[in-house]
Amino acid sequence: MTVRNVSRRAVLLGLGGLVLVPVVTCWPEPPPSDGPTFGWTADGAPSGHMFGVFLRVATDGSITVRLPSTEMGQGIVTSLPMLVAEELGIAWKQVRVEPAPTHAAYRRWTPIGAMQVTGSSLSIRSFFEPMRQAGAAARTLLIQAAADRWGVPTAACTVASGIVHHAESSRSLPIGELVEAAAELPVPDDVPLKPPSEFRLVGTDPRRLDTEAKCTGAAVFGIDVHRPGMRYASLRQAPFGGAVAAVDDAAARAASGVLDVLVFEDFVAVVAESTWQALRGVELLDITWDAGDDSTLDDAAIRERIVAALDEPGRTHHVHGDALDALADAETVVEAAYFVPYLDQAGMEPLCCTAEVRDDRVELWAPTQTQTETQKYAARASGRSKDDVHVHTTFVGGGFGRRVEWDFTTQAVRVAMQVDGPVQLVWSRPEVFGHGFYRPAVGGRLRAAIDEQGYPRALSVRVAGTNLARHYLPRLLQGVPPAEKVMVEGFDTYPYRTEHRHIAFRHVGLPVPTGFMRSAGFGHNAFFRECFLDELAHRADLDPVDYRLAMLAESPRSHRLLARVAELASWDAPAGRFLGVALQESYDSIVAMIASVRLQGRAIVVDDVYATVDCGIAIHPDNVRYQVEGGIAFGLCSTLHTQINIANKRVVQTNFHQYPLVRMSQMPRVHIELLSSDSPPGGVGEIGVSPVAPAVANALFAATGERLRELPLRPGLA
Amino acid sequence: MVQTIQFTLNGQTRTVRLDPETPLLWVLRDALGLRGTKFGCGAGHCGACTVRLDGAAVRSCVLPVGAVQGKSVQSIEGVEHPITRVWTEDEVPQCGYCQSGQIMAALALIEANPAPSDADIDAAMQNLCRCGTYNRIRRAIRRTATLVEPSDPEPQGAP
Repeated sequence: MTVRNVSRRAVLLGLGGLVLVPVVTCWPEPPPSDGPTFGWTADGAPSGHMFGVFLRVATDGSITVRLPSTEMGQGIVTSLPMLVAEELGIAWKQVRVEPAPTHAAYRRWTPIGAMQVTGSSLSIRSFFEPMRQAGAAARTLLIQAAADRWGVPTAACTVASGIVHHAESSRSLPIGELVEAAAELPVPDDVPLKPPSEFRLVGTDPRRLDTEAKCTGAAVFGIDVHRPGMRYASLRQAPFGGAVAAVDDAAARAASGVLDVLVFEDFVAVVAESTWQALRGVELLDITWDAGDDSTLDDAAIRERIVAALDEPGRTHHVHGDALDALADAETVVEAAYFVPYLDQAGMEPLCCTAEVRDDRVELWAPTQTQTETQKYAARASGRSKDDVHVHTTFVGGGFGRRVEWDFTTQAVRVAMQVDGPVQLVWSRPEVFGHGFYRPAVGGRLRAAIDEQGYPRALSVRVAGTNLARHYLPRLLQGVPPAEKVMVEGFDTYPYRTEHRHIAFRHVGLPVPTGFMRSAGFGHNAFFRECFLDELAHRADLDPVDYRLAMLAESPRSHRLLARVAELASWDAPAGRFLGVALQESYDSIVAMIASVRLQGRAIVVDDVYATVDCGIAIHPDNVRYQVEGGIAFGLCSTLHTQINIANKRVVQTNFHQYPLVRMSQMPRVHIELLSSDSPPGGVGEIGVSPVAPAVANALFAATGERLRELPLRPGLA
Repeated sequence: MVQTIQFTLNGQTRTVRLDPETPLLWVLRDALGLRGTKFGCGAGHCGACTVRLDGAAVRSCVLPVGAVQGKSVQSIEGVEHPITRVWTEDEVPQCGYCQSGQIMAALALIEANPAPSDADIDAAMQNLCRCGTYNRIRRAIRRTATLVEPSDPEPQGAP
């Protein structure tokens, strides 16, 4: 997937590369700062000068980087400022950061339009150039200011650790003393960036900027926002496709601390003096729901519809050669069908948002991944213009795609419209499990024509389920093929030599809402693809790693990674261990993974996971390895334990006792190696997730000879 | 119905007057403005709300404040211990939301058991982490334990 690079000049002008503009000679007015919300950045009002929209340089020499992405544990609060600091030439300890306000200047290109949103592991790919350009432009101006003062050529000046030097005359000035003069200079026309070979900060592991606050309890998450006079609210929502029919609120209103009960068509909220009183208040409501259509929908019916959809041709998304013909003519055809259930993102912070609706402005403080949509729908709900809606982004206690939605933020605004002053809406955990935008349940049917050596000459893939991207698009675009691409991703980046390929997707309309979960379409397609390849390898009585390597001759990066992970895991000398392999390119990075498992009764124990990673340039290598490790833990939950079940069109799971995440005692030892390449940086936050399920399923087959084609894996129950 | 409850919080005497059924979690966060202790599930499943009560790790979302009458509570804000430096140096957090609870549970373990084995750590550390920081938590606990090991007890079997 190509990411359109934002042009340098347009970045400096804060227009996000959307239009060509003439050269101007002064800095444009940047969007006003909303001030630090993180609770640990520099105190006091911001001082110094903005150099473009990403960077402020203060007279004390510190810099503040405006973070255009939401920090939710993936580490961009550190890696994006590193890019600025690298080009600007300052010491890491001089770096501060603040969240960017919601503004068009901070949008990035996504497959569904230009948005200020954090997802699809896009942050580094979107801002690798713009952040470096911001730092380089400021460096150029600071050098110019020094050169002007000293009467020397700019080419004779350098910046290091925040000091401009003129070596020849042994003069130097800290950048803080040059800021005022630099801010008056015309915007530079041509700003050279360092070649990656000269990076001195990028590629190292400076202390992450949010670590200390997260170790002392000082970090401010969405739920920690407190505004003077703030009230608290909680809610209960109507079933999918249903509505509130009747409410008896007598008991709720009589409860201590309850201030109001607000009835909407889609939810009922209690406003109270404290979170506890609001949470308890909603439990005291006696609500009659209108269940809407299809009210007896359950897992069996959902599966039936998805499996039936696999018989329908659907829409073709990728064609190489003529797979359907090749399959029709083939002597040997192997077929297998797979299925994965709904999943909840299950971030540890429940959904919440603080909102205040005043005459002059609407203000939100939200742990949100999507500033653009939050602002848009808040404006709509409150009848204001978007310019009057200010969205402040906090830290996020686990995003994983759930906080790309705007349901909880719009609800907070709707409640705030009926409350004097600010109100913080907090969902209970049962509401979070019961009203999600789930990773959809998906079925896959793969058919391969096998050649005489046992390799797939032709591959046909059918994927069926609810298109998770559907609700992001206006109705007009919902039938358009690019909107479905997310459901077949993982088959488009296909590294193996298979001459004929045909990939199709059939959308299944169901009332259960679906959306992005960490690894999105790769999550189900890696499982289908890498398990099927393993089945073909075993059918041909060939080693699964050798089988894949033989098909990767034209994919050197994948070949190298797979060969190396096999070494790392001592694949050729298992010595009593049971190993399984998987390979997946996702978000412009590649991961090869091997899992080592055993059975304890019916429980699968994953002892070790080995992974080799090629993410191009690694900005903060320790963070890259940690993200892959975290992705392994994340993927392991749905591989071994978790699913969302539906009965009577409602989610069965209400809390973590029914959605058991992997615990410390179940966490495998992890061995991760980064193999660097010359490629531009790829995504990192999600790449560790999708190879886990197939690696473990394939290892389980090695252990027991039982081929499981559904998640979570349930050995011995087939 | 309200009750006066007096307890020690982070070394200081605190007095609150409210419904004794109010979970300690919400007393800390909303009544006392200490928001380092987190709400994750409200039912004692996840451990994000872990604090220490007379030294032991407890889940404050299911602990009525009436039960801490006359007792000593420690929250993340009251931690002055090498564990914080180790946790920071080892860069344990990712999103960070569960980390207060993790640190409190870890501190309770280390102070009760200065040389915890892997099995001890597995048993004591049941807090959930969706980001998967478990291996670094384990390493940080072991490293902290080496920094605060008490002097050797009397040799066993001495005559």
